[in-house]
Amino acid sequence: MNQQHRYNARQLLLHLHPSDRIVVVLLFLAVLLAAVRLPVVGESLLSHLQLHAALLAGFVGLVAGWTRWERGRWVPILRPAVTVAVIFICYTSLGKLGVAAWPGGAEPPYRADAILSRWDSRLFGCDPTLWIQQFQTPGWVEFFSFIYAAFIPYIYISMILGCLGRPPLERDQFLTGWVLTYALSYLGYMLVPAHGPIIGRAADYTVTLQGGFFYEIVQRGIQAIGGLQGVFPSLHAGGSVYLCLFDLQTNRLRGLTYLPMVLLIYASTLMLRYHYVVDLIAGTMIAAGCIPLGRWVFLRWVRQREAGGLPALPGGESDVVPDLSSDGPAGAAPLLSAD
Amino acid sequence: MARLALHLFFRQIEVEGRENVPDQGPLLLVSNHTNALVDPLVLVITVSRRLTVTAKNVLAKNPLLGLLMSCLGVVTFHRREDAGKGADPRQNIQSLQQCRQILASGGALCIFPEGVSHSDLKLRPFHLGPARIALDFAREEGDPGGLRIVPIGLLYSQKDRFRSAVWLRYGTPMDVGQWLAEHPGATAADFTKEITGRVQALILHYENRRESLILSCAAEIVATRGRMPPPLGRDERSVAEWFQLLSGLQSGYRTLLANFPDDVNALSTRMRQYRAELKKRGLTAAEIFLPVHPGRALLFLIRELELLLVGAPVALFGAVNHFLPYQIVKWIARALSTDKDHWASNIVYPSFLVFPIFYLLQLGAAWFFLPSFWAFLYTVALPYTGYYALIYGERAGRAFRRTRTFLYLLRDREGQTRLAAEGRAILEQIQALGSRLPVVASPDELDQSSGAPPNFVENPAS
Repeated sequence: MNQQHRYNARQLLLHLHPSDRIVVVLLFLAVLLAAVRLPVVGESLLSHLQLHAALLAGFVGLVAGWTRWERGRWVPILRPAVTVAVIFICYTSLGKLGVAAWPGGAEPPYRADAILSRWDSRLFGCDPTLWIQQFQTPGWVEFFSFIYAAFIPYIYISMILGCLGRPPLERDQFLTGWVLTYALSYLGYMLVPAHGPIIGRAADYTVTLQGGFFYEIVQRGIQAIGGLQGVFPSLHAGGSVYLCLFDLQTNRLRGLTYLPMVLLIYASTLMLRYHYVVDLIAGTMIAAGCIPLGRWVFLRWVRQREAGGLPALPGGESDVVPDLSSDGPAGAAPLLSAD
Repeated sequence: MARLALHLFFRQIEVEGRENVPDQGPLLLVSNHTNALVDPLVLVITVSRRLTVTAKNVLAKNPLLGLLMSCLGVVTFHRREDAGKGADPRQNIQSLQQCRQILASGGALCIFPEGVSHSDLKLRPFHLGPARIALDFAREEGDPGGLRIVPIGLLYSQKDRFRSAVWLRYGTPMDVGQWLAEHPGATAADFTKEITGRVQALILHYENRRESLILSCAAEIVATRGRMPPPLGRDERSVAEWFQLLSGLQSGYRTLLANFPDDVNALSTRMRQYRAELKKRGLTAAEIFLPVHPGRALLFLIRELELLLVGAPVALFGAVNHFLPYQIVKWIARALSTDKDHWASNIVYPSFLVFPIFYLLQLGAAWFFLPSFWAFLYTVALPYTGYYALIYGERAGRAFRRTRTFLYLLRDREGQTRLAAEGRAILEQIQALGSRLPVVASPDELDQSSGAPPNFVENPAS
């Protein structure tokens, strides 16, 4: 083998993009959870184990490819596209894994649902998901179903377009923080299994949700992915807040455009009984924290690459890399907008 | 409110050397004056301590302005040239006394020694007022607290344009007591000369209109760096960098003009011809480097259309709800402005009154006619959508311009190739001339050593 490609562990890390590392760790944890719980829970976990092991193997293979040929022109396009796709698959698969992995969570009422509902009641003095019933008219339900249904394609299209249209440095910081947001939230899916108030508090509702076309679409969509599994923290909140806050720093008009959407998404998940308020709060906090954290993680890696004699950014792209000496996750400076 | 109004009026307010303004102790801020009543407002919002502003007394004749001035405790001065308009220069004794009292109590005073707002290419002669105030305070009052003078340079990108930019430079503070100790027997005229020099070092000071035109033309070409323009949303040029570039080019230009007049004049002619040709086509120096690439164009189209379509309802709501007050302010500005020095003031100050009145009326009506939930929503949405409409309009305008440029260049690929080559050739010629400069110090070195503007002419040899 060529001397150039005999990496030791440290050199390998210099070539491994932080977003790749986060996804690999996340998938590894999913496989580990499934493997550890398999003897206790039984065969129902086998399919989860297989799926996540296959995802891990496939992703590692692709990472090996774009790490080996990191200067390829296709890397800056393929990495975000594959990463977004894997994260999207995990969105449906990890919630199910979480619920399946814990025996107490197999039958309602779920332990985590009860805890989340209790937190809501403590925070607000009453259960907001019950209080909101007074507004659950068919018209509102239909409107918020439209918002909810539109969110998933919109956020992933925004992600892809965002990755393709951003300057290299900003794009990679964006991707790292975004992956971090989802990875941390997925830990919640795996470790705090819950189904949301629509199932957790089903017996307490006096109003039946009724809507039209979009409500039906949402219902069918949820049925198609095997029902609501994984609600804490809310990634509808986390994903949209991340996009909004990140773009408020780098592209104000885009950030301000996301702002009302964030609020509508909050309202829609509550209106359709898919989330507790603490889910939204947790999702928002994770997203807000992952912006400086993602930036710090990414820029630290860039500095390490530079110190190791590699170009600052993979993909052979040139960019302005800010001084990292004074910032960190706690007090990160505003993002540089570089072209 | 002033902060909000100025941040809406100006796209960028960049401040340099804020740390040069002492937090306490007697302080005299001395600034150039090019944007009438906006100048003091820019200073007031960028310092963390209370500022007392000085102004000519004739301004107080306007009842609203007079009320505002008395509320803010503005010290008025009576200029000799306003004698026929109700000014009585004898009353300046009281004004000077008032200034001394403010300084004696450790206050901060802001003075525009040129005495009048103007659009000249260079500073106007300073009046002796600030020097007299400082010398009297130091000599007669004993300089309690140690008076400091902070020179200020105010540079506006296009002061008569909405959403333009301003760069505010606070210079190194000057210890009056120390200066007097070093210059015993100095007169007010000597002191004025010193202050003038310090303010002059912070601003751009053109010899003539030709120099101004040549330098702005050169700066536009240099700023492109011969590369494609940045994507929309990231194409805002830092106003500080722009003026630094201009002053760097200026110092290089003057040196080169003195030593190589033929070469500099030839380049100047070439640049002006280039600019004229671009202007004829409705293009800027940066736009000629726009890549005519179908993939990029498609991505641009998708991204911009997505953003503009999704944002359109919000922007429309904001535009409709702010149309009337915006038009009224614009109408007032048109009616009152006789020159471009006062246009910004005539926008900013009336907006203090017009927008709050309309907001009160609109919100009152909302809370009266609508259920509480909708009224609350309207209250939150009104300022948000107003701001959104403003930046949406700018973005839509830029997207339209870029699309038009792309289509134009698509039709004239040959012309683009030729003009882009010419732009790069001029850039190289500028750099080649720059390499003839004897010394090219780093910006920081130049700034610290002499207070002169930094030299940003790139020297390929260095």
